[in-house]
Amino acid sequence: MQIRMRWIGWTFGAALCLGMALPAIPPGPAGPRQDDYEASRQRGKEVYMLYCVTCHLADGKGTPGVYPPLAGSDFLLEDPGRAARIVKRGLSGPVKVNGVLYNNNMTALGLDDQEVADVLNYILGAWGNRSERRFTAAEIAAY
Amino acid sequence: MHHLWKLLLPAVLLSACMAFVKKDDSSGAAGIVSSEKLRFRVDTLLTGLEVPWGMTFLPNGDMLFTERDGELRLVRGGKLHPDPIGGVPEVRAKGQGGLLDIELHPDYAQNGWIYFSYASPAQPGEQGEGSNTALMRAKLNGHQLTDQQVIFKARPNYTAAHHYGGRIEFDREGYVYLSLGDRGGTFDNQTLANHRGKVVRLRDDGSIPEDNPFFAQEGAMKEVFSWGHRNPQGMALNPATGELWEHEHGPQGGDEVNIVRKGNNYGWAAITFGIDYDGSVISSDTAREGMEQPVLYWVPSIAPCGMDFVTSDTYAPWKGSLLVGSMKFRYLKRLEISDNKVTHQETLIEGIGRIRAVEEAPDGYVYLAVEGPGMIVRLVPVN
Repeated sequence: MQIRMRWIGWTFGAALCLGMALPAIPPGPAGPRQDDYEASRQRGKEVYMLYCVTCHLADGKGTPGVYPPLAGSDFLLEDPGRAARIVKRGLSGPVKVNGVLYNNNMTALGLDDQEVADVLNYILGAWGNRSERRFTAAEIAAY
Repeated sequence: MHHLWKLLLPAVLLSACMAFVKKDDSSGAAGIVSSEKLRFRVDTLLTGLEVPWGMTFLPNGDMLFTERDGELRLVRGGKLHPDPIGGVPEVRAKGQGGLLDIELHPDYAQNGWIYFSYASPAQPGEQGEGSNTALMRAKLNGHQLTDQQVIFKARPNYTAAHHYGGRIEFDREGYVYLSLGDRGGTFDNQTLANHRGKVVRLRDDGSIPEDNPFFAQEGAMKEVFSWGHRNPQGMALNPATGELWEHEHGPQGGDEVNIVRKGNNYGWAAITFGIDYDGSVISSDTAREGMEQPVLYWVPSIAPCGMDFVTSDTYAPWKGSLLVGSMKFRYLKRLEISDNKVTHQETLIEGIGRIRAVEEAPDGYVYLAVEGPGMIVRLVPVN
């Protein structure tokens, strides 16, 4: 029994480490090449200015107490994969961003996988955000 | 990764439910809301919806509502029919687009016409790529739409997927009005040569009345009734005056309530009380000669969606008030109106969700369609 518990503990611990490490993994062979990545960010800015700017604003600072910031957002930067799923599928209910609770609703925007990847690549490198995480459409398709 | 999503989903749903329960608690004993002039409770009729955008009520007591992703749904005896109604138009369900408003012909009992607005993908032969707002009428036979006729399509199409406007309203003479958004951007708004940011006026079959204000003006879109709007997502006929009222989203700040009058220019984007999303100035002017001032404007924006006037004795102390939904602050605004001026504002049911549609039904109750959580509720006065 004790061994079994320990095994569960190790599995859980390993899963936790993996979960924490995942967002920080730099793009592997499957990640976009540098010029593709720059092009993706450029397209992502256009997507952002059409679909995101009304709530999160052009400087990514959001609207205090109503729409959370993306610039310097711990919620975004600690788990870009989660952010990608939210862009793709929407989010309802409370989230805590930089210690502040937000309780609104983000509708799924109907973006295609390329647009989701592009806008994520843009916001992860804009307004002082310096995430190493880079998305491709193929990766978003699996979400 | 989608396994992780599956794991997270219950947690997200649970926290959403908990937030909702908590809100009910804060509204007082047994969920009763004590507002300035009326005590009422919020009856939740349907849950589990996505983005219900428009509602209407049939003479037999059925309710029809749209889901923005393109479904038309029927509610009979308080129960949601499991299948969407067939025969709805193809919509561009992206960004703010999709299946939008729904409205009955004033003589629906005789002619059976139902009107829908929607983001219509570019059709062969149309100018521009992308989509724009269209108006269809059709009849409901069984669980199927028939006799579909597209009676208006805004021109040209745009690739942007926001600012469709989309509210439908009939006046007392039987003309149908459709609100159209500016389709994004601060350009090409102060011209009559396109349908950007206009309210159009049509006969019930889509033909254009010859007494429309710019019917005879060369180069002008003949359907235009009023112009210089940004993104009007609320429209209702004032029962006291018979005039059409609308509200529209400003940019950052500057949401407006206007009385829609023949030929009027409401000024977007030449004048505005708002600034752009990057903080830049769109116009240094809030007023100009030949442009109308709003009845009311909001800074900061409330992101208004849906509106209706209270006419029912069910809410005697609210009679004549204008109810406006807010998406940003997730509440309902009640505006008291006297001589076409707003004399008082009250905020109600804060935190309910992003209100998309506000309708006083023939049964005398006010219904709200809400997103996040997706639901339809009714306000029921209590003693």
